[in-house]
Amino acid sequence: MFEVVLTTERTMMTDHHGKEFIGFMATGPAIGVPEQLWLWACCPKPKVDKLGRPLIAPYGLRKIEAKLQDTGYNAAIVDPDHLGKHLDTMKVLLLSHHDYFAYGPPSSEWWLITGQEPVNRRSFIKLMESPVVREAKKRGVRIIAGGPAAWQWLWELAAWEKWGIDTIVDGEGERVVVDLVEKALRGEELPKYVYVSPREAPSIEEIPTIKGASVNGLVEIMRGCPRGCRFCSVTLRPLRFIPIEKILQEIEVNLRAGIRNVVLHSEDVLLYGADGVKPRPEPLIKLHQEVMKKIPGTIAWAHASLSAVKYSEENYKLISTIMGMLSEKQEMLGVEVGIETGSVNLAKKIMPAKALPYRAEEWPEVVKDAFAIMHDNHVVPAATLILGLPEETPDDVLKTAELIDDLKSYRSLIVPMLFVPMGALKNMEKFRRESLTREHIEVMKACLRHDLYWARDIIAKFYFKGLPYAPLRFFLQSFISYVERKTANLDALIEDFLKEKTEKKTAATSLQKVAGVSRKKQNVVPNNLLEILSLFFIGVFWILG
Amino acid sequence: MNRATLVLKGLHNADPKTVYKSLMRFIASNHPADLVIYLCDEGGIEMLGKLAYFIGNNFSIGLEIYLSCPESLGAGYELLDFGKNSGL
Repeated sequence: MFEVVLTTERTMMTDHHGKEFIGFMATGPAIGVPEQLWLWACCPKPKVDKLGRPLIAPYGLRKIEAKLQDTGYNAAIVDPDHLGKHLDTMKVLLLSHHDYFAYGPPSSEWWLITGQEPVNRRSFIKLMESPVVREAKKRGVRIIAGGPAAWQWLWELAAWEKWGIDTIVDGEGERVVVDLVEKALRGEELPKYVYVSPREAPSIEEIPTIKGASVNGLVEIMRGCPRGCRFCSVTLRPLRFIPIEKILQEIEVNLRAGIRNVVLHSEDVLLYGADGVKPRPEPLIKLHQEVMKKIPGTIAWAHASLSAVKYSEENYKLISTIMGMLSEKQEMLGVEVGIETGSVNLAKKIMPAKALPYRAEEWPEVVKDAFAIMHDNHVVPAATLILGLPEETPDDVLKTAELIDDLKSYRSLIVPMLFVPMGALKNMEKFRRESLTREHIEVMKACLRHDLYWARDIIAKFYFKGLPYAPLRFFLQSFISYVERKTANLDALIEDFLKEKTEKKTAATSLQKVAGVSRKKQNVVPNNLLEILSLFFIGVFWILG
Repeated sequence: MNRATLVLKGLHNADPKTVYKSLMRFIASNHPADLVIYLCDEGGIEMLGKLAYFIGNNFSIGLEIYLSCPESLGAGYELLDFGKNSGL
């Protein structure tokens, strides 16, 4: 039984059926099916031992668990359904999440366009209000919450107080967690809020090796990112490369738990061992060689930048070399990439270094060239766009639509994300009505057309090949056909929605009349339209997963 | 890392601009020290939220906030009292 228990809620404590991208379903609301069925589809419960310790757990929690165990604490990750087994011994409860309240992308986007709370938020609230957590608090257990979404607590002060969270830790936790847990165990006063500055980020030596398996074999190969994009907090952190020996040790931990595949995690995998923003072939080739030797399964990349894809191939033929190496075991490699915008003006404002070593003015060309390279080498990107950034103009959005059109020949899935300012969270419905423009919807339509085409191709050529997968393949192809049918009438729905918005703005009729008529229409036409779109984009992640 | 400790009192009636200006002066004069803040007697979690948000948006320094008064106001602490005598 453990004194220090680490946990999180169900949408995090799961392996998403071994398909990492299915995790995106957990960031949306249950659309068209009961929530339990939705959770079953995307967040199955992991196997646990007699003490409720899960076979797999989120990587961030594994790091903190390892730090505490290395320091000698009686600490372990426990599945949320098994917390009750430790009520008598638990003195500190540590929580982590990548999106506690669904304020991050893409949760806030699904929330915005469907008008329904995402399941990750609902599941976290359910955990915090569960009898076992309330009982723990009643018994004096100190609760410390951290992880990448710690910032969200500053927008949920009432919940912070109501649930009796003793400390929120925002930033990399390895350096501070031991001191906080020690204070908590001694019954000393804890700071209510801790922000770990980039200066205080742990060194490589201070980052521990995980002791238990991570979700889907994810292992970190570096921390930080040098690009400094304005919409991303990771870029504030110093860049650190994890030595290959340490990466292999963590893969060994996962292998012992039966995890055959590896997700190499970094904000930009191609910058592993790089010279600034210029990828270097030696460390990347060595990394892939060593990992391949170690695992029986496949490799995936978490994220890569498009400029690094272009630079590494044009200068060193690196993408084709790596894919040649991997081709023994896998036909394709999935990766998340960020297009964000097709507008040079907006790129210069919000992500001036994203194109480096190329100029920001070359961004659309960088995107196109990188997509062509990935297409030729069977790297399948799930690309994101950001719509609605604060300084965005209609012309910027049209430039993005044009870029998507230019990408139509390249095998990829493109998902638009809506930038949701924090101030909008208190009135999502108003923001939803006022923020979506004709240009945004044009971009969404372009993405939909692109994805419908390439989803069929990806399923046929790469995913779920062979007879055993025939039923699943049939299900997915039917799903795509269903979306095609449902969106056949999309233009008429969009016109209705935009007309509605215009009428709403200019209506001279009484407030009561406007409210009565418009609300009714908005809950019918746009919701159908937007739910179809969101269902499809969530489905896109499912397919890629 | 070097840390500078600040005790804030009487915040509930204080003008936010005055509080923020005082904070900025304190941070600048102790640069590059990380900051420890005691929200002494009043202010509560609402004030914590505002301060953390303000500091996080304007400075890249480490921060600890306690919702209490320090055990003693000895050396190493700076007290900023925005109470009724401050004229705010």
